[in-house]
Amino acid sequence: MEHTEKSWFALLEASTWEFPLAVQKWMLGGKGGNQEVEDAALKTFHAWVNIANASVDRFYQTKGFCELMTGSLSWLLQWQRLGRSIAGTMMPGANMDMQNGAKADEPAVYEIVQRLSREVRQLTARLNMQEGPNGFRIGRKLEGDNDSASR
Amino acid sequence: MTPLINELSRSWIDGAFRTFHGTLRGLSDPYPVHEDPAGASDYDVIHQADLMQLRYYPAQGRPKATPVVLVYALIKRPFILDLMPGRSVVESLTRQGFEVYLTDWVPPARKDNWRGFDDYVNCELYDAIDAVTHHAGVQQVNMLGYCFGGLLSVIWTALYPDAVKNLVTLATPIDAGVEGNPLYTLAARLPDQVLDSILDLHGNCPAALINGWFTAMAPVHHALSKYLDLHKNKLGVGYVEMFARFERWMNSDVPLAGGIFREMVEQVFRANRLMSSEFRIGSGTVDLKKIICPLLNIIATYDDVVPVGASIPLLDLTASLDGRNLMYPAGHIGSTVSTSAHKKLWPAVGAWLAERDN
Repeated sequence: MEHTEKSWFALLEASTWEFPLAVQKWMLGGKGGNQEVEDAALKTFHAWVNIANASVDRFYQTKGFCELMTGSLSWLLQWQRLGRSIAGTMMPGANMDMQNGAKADEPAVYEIVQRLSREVRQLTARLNMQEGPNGFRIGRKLEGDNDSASR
Repeated sequence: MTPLINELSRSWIDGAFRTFHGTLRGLSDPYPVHEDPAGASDYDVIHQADLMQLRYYPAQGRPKATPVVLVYALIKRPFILDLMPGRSVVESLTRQGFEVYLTDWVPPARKDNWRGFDDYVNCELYDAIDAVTHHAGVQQVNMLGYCFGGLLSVIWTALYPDAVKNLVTLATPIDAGVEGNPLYTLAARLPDQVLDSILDLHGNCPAALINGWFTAMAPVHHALSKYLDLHKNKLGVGYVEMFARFERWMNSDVPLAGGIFREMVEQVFRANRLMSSEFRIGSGTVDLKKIICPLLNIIATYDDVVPVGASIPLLDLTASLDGRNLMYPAGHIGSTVSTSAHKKLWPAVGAWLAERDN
């Protein structure tokens, strides 16, 4: 809170005193006028940034923040789903999903291959975890794939 | 004053275009990894798998006995760890004599939506470490995990403790119930209906959603402040180039596999299971007390992505007898790219590893 009060004071000071003063000096042709205006503007901006950051942090702490974000996300997803449905209806041949690796003409085979791949990986993971008391194959000889830890 | 406004406007428009291009990249399948900018260090790819390419960076001079495996996060591209000369974690470690291996995760396609921690840890990372021990001719490795990569490293070390000589974690979230990051609360409160909708519609967590989440952590900075900082520092040596590369990285979001996204929400953010050793992976659970190797837990004290309190509990959850928390005054990214981090932090990390190399 103290930090925020200091920021408000700095913002008021810079925006109501230093900046107008610098602008006046510049308009009257004072030495270094343009640089002073820039410095005063930057000081005002930095003070505003501190206040804005504190405000954002306070907003994030509020109860409504989570509800707002999850609601917005839900809304966005619904619109995305609707957009894809419409696009799919209007352009039935087009692949609108840029992350879809499925081949359009072999979906069943593809699904089976994917499922088998997944099962093999899961079995591999099981074997790796159960490899031995220490669970890790170490010290393989370079000549062959000998699993004994001989190094 | 007018030139300042013109310059800021131009920078802001450039930033908007970068965000737009980043969003398009995030939507592409496959993700165009070839568009990543070249890093500071040359490497060879020594192992390729479904979701990872393992990069090898040779040590400069006589190599240390134990190589370092840099386990990067699953979010954004890994070139932040080798951004440019003088701001590269890879360069710093290779200069200190370490052979470095970096996990370059391949962004998942929709067909990879089922992949979770079990697949990433017990298949991908397992095979990668196996490849490292084979390539380097060692039995153990040093693991250095950054952010989400730290989480993967911690889980892997708990499952395979004998393969890890030393563990270094940087900005690693362990306690998701900590206060200080309201967006953790948002992830924890994400309704099942919304979670299911995201994964049903997209398969994976979309890159744009992750980018939005990170941007929301410091919205004023990302929208405005950084352009002022660019104006103030544009005459600094290498600053403009660093800014451009950093911005490129900020817009390098990739999708997060559906399975692991669901597990993050359910097991990490909602149930905080790592704290209670109830984190389920495959057919077992992760017990952090199995971690007995030396542990250096680096915590960035100005981190707004992983608050200090989220990383601190790690040491006490393990059974390491040679562990310490290293608090470093930097932000989440500053700890890897700032010049001060490369003058102070990374030499200290190298020295800590070197002391425990034999």
